[in-house]
Amino acid sequence: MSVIAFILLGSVVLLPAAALMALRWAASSGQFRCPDKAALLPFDEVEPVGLETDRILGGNRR
Amino acid sequence: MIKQSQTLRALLPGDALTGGGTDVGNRAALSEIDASCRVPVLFFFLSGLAWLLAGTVLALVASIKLHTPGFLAGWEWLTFANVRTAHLNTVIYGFASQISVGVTIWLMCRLCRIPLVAPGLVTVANLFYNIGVTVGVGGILIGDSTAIEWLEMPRYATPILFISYALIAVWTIVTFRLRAERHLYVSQWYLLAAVLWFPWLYGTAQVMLLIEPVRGVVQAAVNWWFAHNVLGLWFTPIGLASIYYFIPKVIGRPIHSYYLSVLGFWSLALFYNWNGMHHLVGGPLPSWMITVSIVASVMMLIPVITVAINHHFTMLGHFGKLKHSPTLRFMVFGAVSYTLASLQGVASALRSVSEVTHFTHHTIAHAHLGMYAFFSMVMFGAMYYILPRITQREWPSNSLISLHFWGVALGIVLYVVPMSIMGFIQGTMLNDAAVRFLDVVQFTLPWLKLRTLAGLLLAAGHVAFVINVGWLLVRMFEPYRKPVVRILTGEAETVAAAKQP
Amino acid sequence: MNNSQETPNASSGLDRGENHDVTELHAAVLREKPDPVEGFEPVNLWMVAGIAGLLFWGGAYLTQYSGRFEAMEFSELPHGKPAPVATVAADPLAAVKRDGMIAYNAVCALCHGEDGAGKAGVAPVLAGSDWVNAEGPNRLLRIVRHGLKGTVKVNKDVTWNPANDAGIVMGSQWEAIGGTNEKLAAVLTYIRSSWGNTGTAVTPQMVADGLAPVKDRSAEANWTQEELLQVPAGGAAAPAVAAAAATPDQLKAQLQALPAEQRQAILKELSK
Repeated sequence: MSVIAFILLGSVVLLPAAALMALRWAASSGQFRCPDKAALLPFDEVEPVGLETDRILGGNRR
Repeated sequence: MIKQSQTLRALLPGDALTGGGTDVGNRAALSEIDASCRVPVLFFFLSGLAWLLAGTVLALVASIKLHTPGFLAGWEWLTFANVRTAHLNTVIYGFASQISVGVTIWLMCRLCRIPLVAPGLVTVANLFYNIGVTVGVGGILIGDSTAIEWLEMPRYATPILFISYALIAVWTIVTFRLRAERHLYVSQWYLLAAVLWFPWLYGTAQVMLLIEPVRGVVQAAVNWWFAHNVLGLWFTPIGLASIYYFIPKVIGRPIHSYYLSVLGFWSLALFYNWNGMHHLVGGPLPSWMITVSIVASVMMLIPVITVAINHHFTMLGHFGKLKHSPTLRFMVFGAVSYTLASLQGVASALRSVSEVTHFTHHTIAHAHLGMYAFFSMVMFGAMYYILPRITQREWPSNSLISLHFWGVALGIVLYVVPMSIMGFIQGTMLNDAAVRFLDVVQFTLPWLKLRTLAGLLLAAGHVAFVINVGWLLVRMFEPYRKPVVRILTGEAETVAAAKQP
Repeated sequence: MNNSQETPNASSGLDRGENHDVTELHAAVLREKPDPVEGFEPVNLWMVAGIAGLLFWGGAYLTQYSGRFEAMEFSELPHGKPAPVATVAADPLAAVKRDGMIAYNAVCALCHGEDGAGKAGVAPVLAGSDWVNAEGPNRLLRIVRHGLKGTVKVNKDVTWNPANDAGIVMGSQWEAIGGTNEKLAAVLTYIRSSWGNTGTAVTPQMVADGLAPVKDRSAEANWTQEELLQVPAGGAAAPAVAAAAATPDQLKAQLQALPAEQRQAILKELSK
């Protein structure tokens, strides 16, 4: 029982603390600052915005 | 972004870049990332698909047994309780989790813009993971189930799973620390959170239910806290991370609103893990625990509607592209199902609805709407995108892709819609003291046969997909041919490449 | 700041103090960047309102249903609402009838059927039978206690003749149903109140009184129709009325249903 109590109490303290630290880290490292930039992250010069990257079905295939 | 591609180039062998300008360099960097993922991601995908086939067979056996009890009745390790439990554990831990890890690895590498670090470690983790699932499912079939929902795998199987899982989590964090792109995309938030949440859930549930079990109703509370959070804090984030990446990527348009995606993530993180106790409405738990769960379940409308609006407005004006991209088809099907599954979940968390739908087939329909129509469809979509890129080969057969999509799409609709309706009617009949229990059972029979039919459609889709993947692998060992980079370069070059002899 | 203010331009038609520096006029506009189209659409105000509404509902629901966050509070009802009280008065004999039904279905129903319809050539009908619906249980309880053989006439014209057909005799069922006055009373109460039967309830006391004269009779000594018809059917006694009637109106109705002299006797007893 005491083992469980330690694990539980520990996790009750540590997990929210970790979540808060993650939030603080996100804010301080500018993760919330440039949403315009973040939204563009899946794209790059090779596959820029406007390029359809998965055109398999429907006619353009020999 | 130029800076990022420079970072990428620094990681590449020099001769990969000698061919030309920036574009070639970037292309090479992208290919390098994909190639580095090839072995571990393929391993995860292939073993996941093998478990999918096993899970489909088990599901069909269980489904047939519900309306034809004599089916395979002579095999004691194939009783309904064993088969149904084995089905759940095979598709959850064998199929869905392994595909999730594969997708997580690839997405992380793409978004961190670095090739996979230590692929050997991930492959070893995969090997152990499969041993764990095999031992666990075998244990269930020989009757060693723990009889705790979603944790039925016997105690001798779970440590292997936990260790291999921890390896994967550690690896994800290492990759994240080494990332070349400092800014995080919303998918990475979801992936990181999921990778950290799952060991917490699994570890806590293992300790509190199997290793040193707590007593009384607390077991039920922990059980449902775990079982519901596996869906909400492990599968859902990975599914959403995939949708957030693949829809913009395929249609070539950024996500509608990044603010909304941040709101969606943090509200999911805040509300989801309270939800589990709504499975115990009417149970012997202090009323505040259930009430808190119901409120949190209703609060899930915030992330769900946020995500739905975001995905819908991203797709707006691009629905025509569904015709051409299998990835987009599966992703959009999954995204719509996510909204529907969540709304259904919110509704059935309410006391007034739960007293009808609880203990009926409605719950089972809901589970499949969430796990299959949402999550599995999204994973199929992701695999359609990732597999050609890591193998550097095109999908061999368009007809098999169509067969897969229409088989599983029709199959799951035919599964979820009738079963939801039937479950509701079943619930009202059960609540009516004047209706005999046997009449309720007989009422469900034709609907259960319909479910077997839906299961056969799903099975056909799975077989088509597995054949296509197998064919793709065969092609991987054929010599590399020039035009196969079609989907990597876009349509215009496709046509040009195809015209060349 | 700028000099256009100091050189009023008479020919331009501007009033004094007015300036026409375009840059300054549009400074506020220039500070504004063009609205981004994609990627960072701001959160819709309606959505903020919706979220606020949801949170408000959540707080309200929590106060209503949380049972003041007490560990031992299990009610699923909103705070302050008392648990519903059953509005339909429960049948006071429900438990007895249920007890009787269990014994009847386990023992008697094999021949008489779960619906009391009897079985041709085996056992006579109980539903609507004049034997069952007799005023008192004195003959019925003898049948169950010691069994019955020979021809039986039910409802005056239908003859059940098991003995001649297959030699079937109804033996004593006393031990089979539990061997107590309470069990026999329960079975008879169930039979007399089911399948449209209108007999009154039977109490253990009535069973004891009814069996007292024959307590030395052997269980193998089955009754015959002729013997039984000598036994007075026996009127419903006062305790049975009291047990069966839940409301004054029911009691009144039951009293009025009794034969005149018996009703008089009961009223006389009560008025003492």
